[in-house]
Amino acid sequence: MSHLDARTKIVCVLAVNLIISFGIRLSVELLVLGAVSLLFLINGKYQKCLVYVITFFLLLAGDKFLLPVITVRWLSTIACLVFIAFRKFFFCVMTADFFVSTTEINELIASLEKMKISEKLIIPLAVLVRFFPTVKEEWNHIRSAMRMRNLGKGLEQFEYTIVPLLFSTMKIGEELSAAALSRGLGMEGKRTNLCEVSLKFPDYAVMFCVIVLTAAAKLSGG
Amino acid sequence: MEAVALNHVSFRYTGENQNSGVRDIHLTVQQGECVLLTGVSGCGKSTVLRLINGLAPYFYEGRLEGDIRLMGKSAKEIPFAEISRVCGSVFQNPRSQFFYLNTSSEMAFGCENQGIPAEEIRKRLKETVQEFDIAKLENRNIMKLSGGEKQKIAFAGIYAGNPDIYVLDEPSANLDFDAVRDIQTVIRKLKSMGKTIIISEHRLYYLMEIADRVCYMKDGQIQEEYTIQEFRNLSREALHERGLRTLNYQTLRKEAEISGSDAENAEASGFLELKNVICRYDRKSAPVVEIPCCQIPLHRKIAVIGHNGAGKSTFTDGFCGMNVSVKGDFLIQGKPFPKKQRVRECYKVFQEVNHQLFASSVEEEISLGSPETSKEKMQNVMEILGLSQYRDVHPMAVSGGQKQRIALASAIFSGRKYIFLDEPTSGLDYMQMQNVSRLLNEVMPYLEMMLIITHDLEFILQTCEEVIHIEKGQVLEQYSLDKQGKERLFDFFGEA
Repeated sequence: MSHLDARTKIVCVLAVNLIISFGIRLSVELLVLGAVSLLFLINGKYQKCLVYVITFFLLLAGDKFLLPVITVRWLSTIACLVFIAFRKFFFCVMTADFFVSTTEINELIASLEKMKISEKLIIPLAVLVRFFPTVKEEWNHIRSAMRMRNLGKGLEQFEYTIVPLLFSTMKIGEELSAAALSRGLGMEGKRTNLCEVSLKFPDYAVMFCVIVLTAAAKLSGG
Repeated sequence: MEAVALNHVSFRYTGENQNSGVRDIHLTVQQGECVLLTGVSGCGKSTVLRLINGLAPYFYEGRLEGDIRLMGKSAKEIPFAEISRVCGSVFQNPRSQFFYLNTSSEMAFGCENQGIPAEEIRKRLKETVQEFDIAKLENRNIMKLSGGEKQKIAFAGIYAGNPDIYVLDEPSANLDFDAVRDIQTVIRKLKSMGKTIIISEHRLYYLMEIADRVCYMKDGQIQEEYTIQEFRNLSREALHERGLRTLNYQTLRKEAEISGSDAENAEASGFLELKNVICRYDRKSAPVVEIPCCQIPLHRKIAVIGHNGAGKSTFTDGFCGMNVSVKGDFLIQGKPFPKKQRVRECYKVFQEVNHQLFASSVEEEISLGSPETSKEKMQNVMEILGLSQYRDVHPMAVSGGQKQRIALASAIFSGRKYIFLDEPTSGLDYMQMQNVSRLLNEVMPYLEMMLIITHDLEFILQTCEEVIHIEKGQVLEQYSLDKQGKERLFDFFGEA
């Protein structure tokens, strides 16, 4: 299995965001979708990839077939928002997900260290990435509690989820910090990292493709 | 040599909880000794541990007086981050003490921070895995491990860093008894290696063969000190007076034999019948629980017991219609009790009760999501559960016991009569456990059925009238807690 370096993935995330900011056309969208899907597939994330591809085509179908038929004004505004605006945003989410779901925290730390980024920045970032799955786990618990109480329609849902989520993540965050500190995080002197990372051929290849793609998108569309 | 010495140490937290903290602590622990700190919740046990591992005052800010020495060196001279070289800590919540998400990386984390060369770390990891016999936990996703496995990884991570002192803050609080036995083995091993261990606990039985000394704390002070022999000779009354749990299950057994005949042989006033019930995680997965036929008596407090992973939670979640795919018939007095109705009438009180409190006041919390609007009924429910004085308080601002009360109040107010509780007494001292027991007695008359998933023998004996024993996804046995039933219950906890 070819395993990409976190630095390469960061380049991918930045590139996709750049391309989106150019305001892209359908052909480029499909190209980006294809490229990111390929990354998912190489890393064995078949199911996730399928979900994203299907979501994309649903959004696209909504845009092409549903939007022209809707005549009610407010409804078409909402539809525009969902089918077009969200579709742009979609690629950022997809690439970011690829980054987070295929990168171990120690890999990330190792790569950032190689980029000579200060530990003062790396550690909080690592903690942040570490926190996502915890928040997701808490979120699931809370949602099932809400279903049981027959709570949660529309905005209400958001409000009621947020309060317990904040409390529990705050508590976990505090405990997490205490545990990490008690194990010597932030100790003076050089930290060892068991995980060794280096840029290999696949990294250079992917980076090259990404840069070409970005430049092409800029020249053709922007 | 003295591994830890606290000389007239006082600590007071800055901020809101002015009363918490400790006063005039005098404690010396010899190298290789295991000292148990116990006392009711909030007595200051954790604070003492934080003073030793430096989290107080470095992380938990406050005013520190007195002298702390670790391995003969004054703690003031050791920079906080360096303390981890001599003193490793394991905490009570297995969910929140991991920096990485991969078990093997996690075990190396402490060593990495110390800047130990990578080759040496790999060697130590290998030894650690062998020593703790955890080869099957290598390179796993930590989020997917059970609580007990997570605690083992926590211990292993500390061990790899090779400190002399181990500070353990209620490491068993969130574990079932299988897992407790596992960490008991780990702690025994550390002791045999000559490590110094300071441990705070409510659950005492598993340490009686390991600890050398016991310090009983109250109101932020060490009130009494016992050798383990003296402590084991304390009567049950003496322990309960101090708010402490029973030390071993033999005591409970003896007591049950003496008071043996208080069995309540009241005829059950009806049954809930299960026929061919099959629970799965989702529609495609293999059955987790299969119950061809089972009668659950109504109006009784029923303990659901069984080993870790037996399917207890899957079964109760399936019953409530939560997240689990269920097939089969549920009948009350012969009438069908379909899923739609179960979803409306069942209620589960989580182990982590914080996950189910949403509103900004107790009154709002109780009425949330309920079709009921009657002011009178609200008044009534709050009175039954002793919550009237808290009506405008934020549910997150009360104690854990009160939160359970609020959760039950909202269940009763919205007319839910089938209640499930998941480990309601985990991590509780004797007094708090009694409060839960009392609470359940108070609400029982308003309910049809109560199933309690629990591993707490003392609590079962005090509270429950019936036991359902689930093993490998099946109801292994079911009995009421008369004299014979208690024998069976003891057998289960004895072998376990």
